[in-house]
Amino acid sequence: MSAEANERKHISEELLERYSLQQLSEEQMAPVEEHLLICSLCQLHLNEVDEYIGATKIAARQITEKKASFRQLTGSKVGLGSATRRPSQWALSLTAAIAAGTVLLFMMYAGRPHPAPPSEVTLLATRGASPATVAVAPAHTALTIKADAPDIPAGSQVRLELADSRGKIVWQGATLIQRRQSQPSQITVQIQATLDAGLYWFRVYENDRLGQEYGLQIR
Amino acid sequence: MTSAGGLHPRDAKSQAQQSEDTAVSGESEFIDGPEPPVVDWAAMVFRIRNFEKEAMEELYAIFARGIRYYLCRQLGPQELDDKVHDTFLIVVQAIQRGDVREPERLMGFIRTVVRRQVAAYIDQLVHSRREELDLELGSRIADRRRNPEQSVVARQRAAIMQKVLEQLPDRDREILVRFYLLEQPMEQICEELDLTETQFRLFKSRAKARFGEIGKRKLQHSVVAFFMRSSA
Repeated sequence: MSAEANERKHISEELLERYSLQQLSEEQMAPVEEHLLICSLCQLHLNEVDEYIGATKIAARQITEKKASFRQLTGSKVGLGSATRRPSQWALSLTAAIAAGTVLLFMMYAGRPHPAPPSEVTLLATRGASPATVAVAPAHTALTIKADAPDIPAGSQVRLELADSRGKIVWQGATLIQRRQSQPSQITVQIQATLDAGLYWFRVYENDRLGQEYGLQIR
Repeated sequence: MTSAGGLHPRDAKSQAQQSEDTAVSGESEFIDGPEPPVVDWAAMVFRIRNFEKEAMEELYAIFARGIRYYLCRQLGPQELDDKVHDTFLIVVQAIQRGDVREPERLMGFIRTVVRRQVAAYIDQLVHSRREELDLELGSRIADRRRNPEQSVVARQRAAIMQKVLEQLPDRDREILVRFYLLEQPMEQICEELDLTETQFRLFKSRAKARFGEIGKRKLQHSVVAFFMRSSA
């Protein structure tokens, strides 16, 4: 279809979704972006597509994480798509209560103060009109940072840095990108340095090129 | 427009219907609707080259919103007016210098300018952060955080979507997780889950319709609750 004909039509929802998810080639992207420059209807529609995708990403992540922590707790092997029986809520609560009680007793009888466990924080990359979700973590606590790295091949070595809002590098490190089954490659890294409250930027460099940057709010 | 937390404009039924229609008729990338302005780009370029003030105003009226939208989407709302103005100035000056070799492709030219501007702003931002390493000057970090109202709406949307996903059979949920979270292309999902493209589109549109239904119901509940609180 000619560019002129496209000007007079609107972008289908499917194409907008693929644009929002950055799944279009440069060739496919050009007519979409040119149309968006002059069509307010499609701009509005794209905002809504972005918001829907953003909500689905967050919800899907929460559900997959919930499932993963349940698998860890019970040792069961429930696949993402398998139709296994769900555990009853009371059994889950009982298991969690026993585990928590055991940890509490151990800490009470150990006779010396223990450092607080690291707080886990998952950094989520979102695209589109919605501003990037800034993950929140507590101040003055060691952190376990998890961040998706879908565009970096598993097994690659990446350089990491954490900069504060003034651009000062407060932590640096390196890690290997982990491969995960049915999920995007992930970076998991522990930061022992305790951070003051403020906005930080977690950066991932691949071959000294800035690949990803995530917002992290410490409170 | 379904306004539950700024949900989708098309109601649940029409979403499903549209998707099902698309699935039946094959992938249609551009669809009919109220037409955007039809402009003779070559004539406009000619007039701007001749320094016609009205032509520049027309160009601004047509593109200002789109340029603003694109820049805001890529860079956030900071200093947006200045960025739009800078971009517009670059476009007009380029036209007047005769740099636009294919006047009828003016939109493509403007897109290229806007994309270059985005790349330049990002580059500038990264460099300024590095240079401010040891300086105690004011921060120039773009604040891309949501305002409180946007955060509440985003949380509501995510909660609705979580409800939708929890209600779905595992296989349907896997399709959505793969497409939206893992960003796998449709072709890969269809191949690995043994689906046709029509089935894939139907799964997606049904989930979206369900999202719209729950959102609408939630909105009605919150409106009722609001009036009950107000009248108490």
